[in-house]
Amino acid sequence: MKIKLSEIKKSYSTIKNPKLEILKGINFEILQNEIITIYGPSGAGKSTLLHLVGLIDEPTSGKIYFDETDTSKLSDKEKANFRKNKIGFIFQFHHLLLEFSAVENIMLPAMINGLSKKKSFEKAKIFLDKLGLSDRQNHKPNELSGGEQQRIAIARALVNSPEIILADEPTGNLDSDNSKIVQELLFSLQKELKFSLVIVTHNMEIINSANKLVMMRDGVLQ
Amino acid sequence: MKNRYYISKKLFGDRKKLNFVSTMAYLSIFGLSIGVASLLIILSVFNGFDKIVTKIMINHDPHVRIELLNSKIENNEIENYLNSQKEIKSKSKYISGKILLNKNLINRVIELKGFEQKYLSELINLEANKNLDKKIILGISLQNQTGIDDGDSIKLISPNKLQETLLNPFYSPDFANYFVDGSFRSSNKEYDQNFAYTTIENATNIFEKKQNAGWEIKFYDIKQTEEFILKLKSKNFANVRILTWKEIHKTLFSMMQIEKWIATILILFITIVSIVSLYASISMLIKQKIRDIGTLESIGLTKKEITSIFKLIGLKISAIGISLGIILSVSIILLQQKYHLFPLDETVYIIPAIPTEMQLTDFIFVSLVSIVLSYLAIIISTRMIYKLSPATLLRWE
Repeated sequence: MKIKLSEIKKSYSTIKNPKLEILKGINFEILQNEIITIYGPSGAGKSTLLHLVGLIDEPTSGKIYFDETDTSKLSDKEKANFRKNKIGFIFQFHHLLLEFSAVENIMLPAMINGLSKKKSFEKAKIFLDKLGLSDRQNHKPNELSGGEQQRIAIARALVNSPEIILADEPTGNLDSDNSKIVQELLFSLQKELKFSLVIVTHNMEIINSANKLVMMRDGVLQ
Repeated sequence: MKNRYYISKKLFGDRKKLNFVSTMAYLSIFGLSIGVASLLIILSVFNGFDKIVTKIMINHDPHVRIELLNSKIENNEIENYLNSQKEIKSKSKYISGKILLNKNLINRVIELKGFEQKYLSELINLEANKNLDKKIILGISLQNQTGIDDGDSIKLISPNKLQETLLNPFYSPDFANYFVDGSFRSSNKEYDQNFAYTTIENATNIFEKKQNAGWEIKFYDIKQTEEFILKLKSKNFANVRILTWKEIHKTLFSMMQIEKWIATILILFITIVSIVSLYASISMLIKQKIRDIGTLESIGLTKKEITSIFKLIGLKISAIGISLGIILSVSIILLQQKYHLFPLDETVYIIPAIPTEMQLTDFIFVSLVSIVLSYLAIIISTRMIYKLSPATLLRWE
């Protein structure tokens, strides 16, 4: 799947600034099986760009195409279907549901995608095994270490076999050891499952491992 | 839907975890159940009183009274019509009016009513063939208050005869001499204190001309009243007024109905307060789960689907609250019926305890009102989900 961003602008209205421009006309392409790293100073608009690509936010102007589909013309339901089937998110703070166990958190996207509880469980188990977290299957997120939580979040993002993973500072909240584990895991899974990977990061090791490196500053790509 | 139920159950299913939001939810459940139970208990008490009052009334009063407006009791057309109606269990012509009762120094204005003897015998449990010539039967309280014994001789004079006496000083009062032949108890204090019965022949002699007259009718089943009234009215009999047992005591039944509704509305406020707390609980639950909402949207749920998860939680709270309220009210009502938890002083009241009567329609009404109000609270509180942006929710820890 090819994703194309054309003249994307995003602005917010705040009390101090009625038109705070975050993205100022972004043109950008994400190709299949590509690893792209976006880096830049805080407030440059990196996360906003990721949210727009992930269809959880809408641009003020400009178009986002998934292959030939103009996403601005999609209904809420169709956008949700895209997120369900084609997109996986990994956030800096794992955002696991605290009431759900590790395996239930991974099962959830599969169940939302229409799989039965049993099949979702089987699928989630495969990822738990793959990530070496089988013994943590029934643990709640607050019973897991930061690294384990982020690995569960990765498994959750991958359970529906998406075509693109959007990772917003996935190692930003981890110590160096866990950061390395998560980074290696992400790259090895990308190699194995062949999804596109867009990572917003400040982590130099990740920056150096990318196919494509994009610097972002003041709402523009450089 | 199955998945949404699963998510809602997981998001709000941890009973071991007690926090502010779950405490609020428990308070909503508690409030709703108390509100629903109070409403149902109050309504059942009103039903109980209603039933007792109705029983007292129809025990003695007719189901239908036909009043003749021209006081002419000889109306064969009506008599013939009534004779042909199969649903009528018993009927009688009546003549009634105010009369002065005198015995020595005792003078008392009472209501004297004359019936056909068969009807009268059934009404106050008399021997069917008892000779009632020149005899009257007093209400039990009237007899006690006046000290008149069975077999005592009394004098009766109708108001028009009394008027003639007062207007003409040379005119000797024309008292009719009668005997008291026992007393009756009607379980209606007004009748027991102020009424006396006799045969229609005696009453005709006593009143001569000015009197109220008509028919009193009882059916095999009181429910036949409305249907009979429709048939009777369609006959268009002249100079008659037709009253049902409810219309005979219209003021009393209207007052009871008004009381019932006022009490219902007042108690409904308890339910409304608990529904406001349900609104607060769901609003706070949404605010507590705000990041989870962003997460759920990022993994593919629409806002509508996420809203339905929270609606399910709200419906679960209200369903538990309403169900507990119903269970609580049924338990209290049954205990009251069996063990008289709230007794009454039997020397003052004719019943030993506060009466209760469960009616399915009340249960349906209270449940529906509670469900509709709860659902409104749920809809209003979950509307905020549509205003949330997942990007904003997921941006910061």
